[in-house]
Amino acid sequence: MSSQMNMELIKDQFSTPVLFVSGRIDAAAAQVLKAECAASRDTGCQRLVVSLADVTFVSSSGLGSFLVISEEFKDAGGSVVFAAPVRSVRHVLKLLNLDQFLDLAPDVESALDLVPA
Amino acid sequence: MTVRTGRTKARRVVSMRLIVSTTAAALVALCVIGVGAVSEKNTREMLVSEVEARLMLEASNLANLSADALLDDFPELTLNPVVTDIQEKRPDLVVVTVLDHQERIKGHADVRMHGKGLALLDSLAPVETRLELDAGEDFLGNGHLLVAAVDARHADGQRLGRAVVGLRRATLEALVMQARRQLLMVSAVLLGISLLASVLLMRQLLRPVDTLRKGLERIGHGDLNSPMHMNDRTELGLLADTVDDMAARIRDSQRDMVEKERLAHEMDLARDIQLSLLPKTHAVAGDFVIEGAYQAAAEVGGDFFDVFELPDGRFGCFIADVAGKGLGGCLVTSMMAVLTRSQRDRYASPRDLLIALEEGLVPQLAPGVFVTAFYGILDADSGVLSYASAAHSPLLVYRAENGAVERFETRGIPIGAVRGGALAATLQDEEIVLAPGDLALQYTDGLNEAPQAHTQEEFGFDRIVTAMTETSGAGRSKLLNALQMQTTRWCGHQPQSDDLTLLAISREGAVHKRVTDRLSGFSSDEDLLDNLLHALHLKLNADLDHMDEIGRWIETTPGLAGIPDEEKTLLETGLFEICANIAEHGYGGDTHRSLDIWWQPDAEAEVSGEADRSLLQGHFLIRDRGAPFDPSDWSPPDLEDKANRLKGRGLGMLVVDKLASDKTYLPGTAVGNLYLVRFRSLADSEKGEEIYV
Repeated sequence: MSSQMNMELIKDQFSTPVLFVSGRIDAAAAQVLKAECAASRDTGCQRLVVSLADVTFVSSSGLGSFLVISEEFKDAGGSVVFAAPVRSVRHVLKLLNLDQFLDLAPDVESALDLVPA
Repeated sequence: MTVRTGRTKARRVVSMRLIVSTTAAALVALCVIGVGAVSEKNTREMLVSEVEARLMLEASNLANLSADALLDDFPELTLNPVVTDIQEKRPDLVVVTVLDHQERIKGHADVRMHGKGLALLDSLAPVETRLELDAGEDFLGNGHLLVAAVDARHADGQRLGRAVVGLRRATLEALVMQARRQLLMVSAVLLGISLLASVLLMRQLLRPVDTLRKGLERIGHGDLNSPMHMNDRTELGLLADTVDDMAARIRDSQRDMVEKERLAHEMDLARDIQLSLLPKTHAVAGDFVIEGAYQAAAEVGGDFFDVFELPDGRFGCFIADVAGKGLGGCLVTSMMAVLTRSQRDRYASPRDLLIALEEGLVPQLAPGVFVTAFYGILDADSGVLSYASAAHSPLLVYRAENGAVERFETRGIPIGAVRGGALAATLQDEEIVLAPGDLALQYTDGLNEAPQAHTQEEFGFDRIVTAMTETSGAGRSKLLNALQMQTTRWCGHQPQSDDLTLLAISREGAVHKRVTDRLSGFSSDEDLLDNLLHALHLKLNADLDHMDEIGRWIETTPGLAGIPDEEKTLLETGLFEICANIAEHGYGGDTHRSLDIWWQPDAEAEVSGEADRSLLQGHFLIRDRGAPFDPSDWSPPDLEDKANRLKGRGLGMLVVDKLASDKTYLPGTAVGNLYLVRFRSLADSEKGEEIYV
């Protein structure tokens, strides 16, 4: 199975909840990620940082899920920042011009600065 | 009454005439009865008052007449004839008597009563009356009689006696009854006349309702040609006129609709004919690929293009634009297509073919209709494109050598614009050479003149040149897609006003040629497979859950294992997207199918051993046996559109498109669908721009 993605949502340690994602984001994992973010949003969390530091691979479904998550948070009046993508992921994000539509930050700290508490 | 109305079941209806007539009659009856009842009461009171007044008057007269007689010694002699006369004249008066001041009878019709008292008086008592009684006047009665008694007085006021006059109550009742009967009779007659009049009036007024119903039923059955023409001066007549007008308007709009549908059907036919004239796929000539694109306007237009191989092995590329849309333009286009196909093999010179076309077309063209056309003949071996242009758009050529776009203006006049051989004098064959990587673009004015929705600014040449530069080296599919997408976005939501036709002649086939050469070099499928097996191979289940095998394969494949990790991830990403696309679309999710990936390092790199380990020097061949997918049919999702971002789909091919430096798709070969792809290295393509906000 390729759904080798893990997630951990840390709520209390930071000013904004941070979702630490690790592993590979393929089509199946992208669904899980979207569901997790939607659940977090539904519980009233309007701002979220998604840490991609330990994500080694993102498929197009994963990239698509970033767009969906970002738009859904914006629609709900909130925002989501994707933090610390590795070089290859960063490269693909840039190639596809997705940086125009996503809020990206080089690390979690900068991401927290971007999201007003 | 039972009425059947159209498709609905028969239903019982209550006649409006009956309801209105009955209601009117009931109201009239109520009025008459009410008025009758009030009248009867008034009449009775009036009659009673009159009878009482007359009784009192009789008594007063008798009292006046009796006053002098009562002073006589024998008043009976005078009063008897008076009383008798009164009773003869008024037989209804049962009591006519004159009493003296001692209440003894002095005047009576029966002389035997003279001198006696009037016993009757004891049974009488005052009764209610409307008369205003003076002093000395009494109005008395009992169960049977009504009596008026008036004092007879001397001129000096002395009371001398009194006159008593009475009648039976029954007499009064008889009078009242008679009056009531007359009143009833009059009321009945009035009631009868009123009822009859109201029924007749309502029947007359509501008669048009039937006509209206029948008229509406006719309309309901689709008969719109039988107006009611109702000559009625009431509102119902007005309603009938409105219904007649409505039917006439429905008839007119039905006629218009049928006409529009007929026209639309003809337009559809014309469009089908026009589309059937266009080439269905791209043509490959040596390492040239010639491909056209056609985007129809809302209305059938007059664009046309064709690509064909000539008997001498060269390729003809024809594009034309008929001035005039609609069926007329389409007919001219069809004629031109037929003429081109019948004449093209006869002429080695583009100029000569255009002149021949003019000779064939002009007799058929209506005045004012003309055609601009470009005809090029490509020699794929030498790369020479000879062409002539009858006032068609300038030819644009992207030069791979320096990345510039050259523009070649034309000199000819349009076919049919000036008759009598003027075209031949202006046309001339020109020649250009297309080097590897070069791309020549021809198009109709639907491209450069595409108007922007709000400003009406034209798309213009600069934007075409920019698109050519931006897609430089990425092949004709990319350019054609980019131009179509950009013009669509440029025009916004307004309907496309003109056909958009593009024709690209691209010398892009370096990779393509290598594959075709490679494939044509094998004597059989087995031969080809044997050769492919020498490459480094991965057989992969078409199962999205097992695609991570690609990453493991890269890790263990010589020539790939040594590249930096980030390169490997990008490579895996590119291959993953191609394979996922095949699994999802080519195989429709059937996880039992499989596909193959071969890594073929470039021969030069292997031989020289000079490979820079950070660069990918080789290509991947991916083979599947599913439904073919033509990447040139694909266009990237417009992420400016929020709806597309919310879908989050369609990015897979975009990833491949951006990561690949060179890709060729060969669908439906003897060994399956082949996809040959070379990836850019990270160092080669990284823009190094900051992505963070």
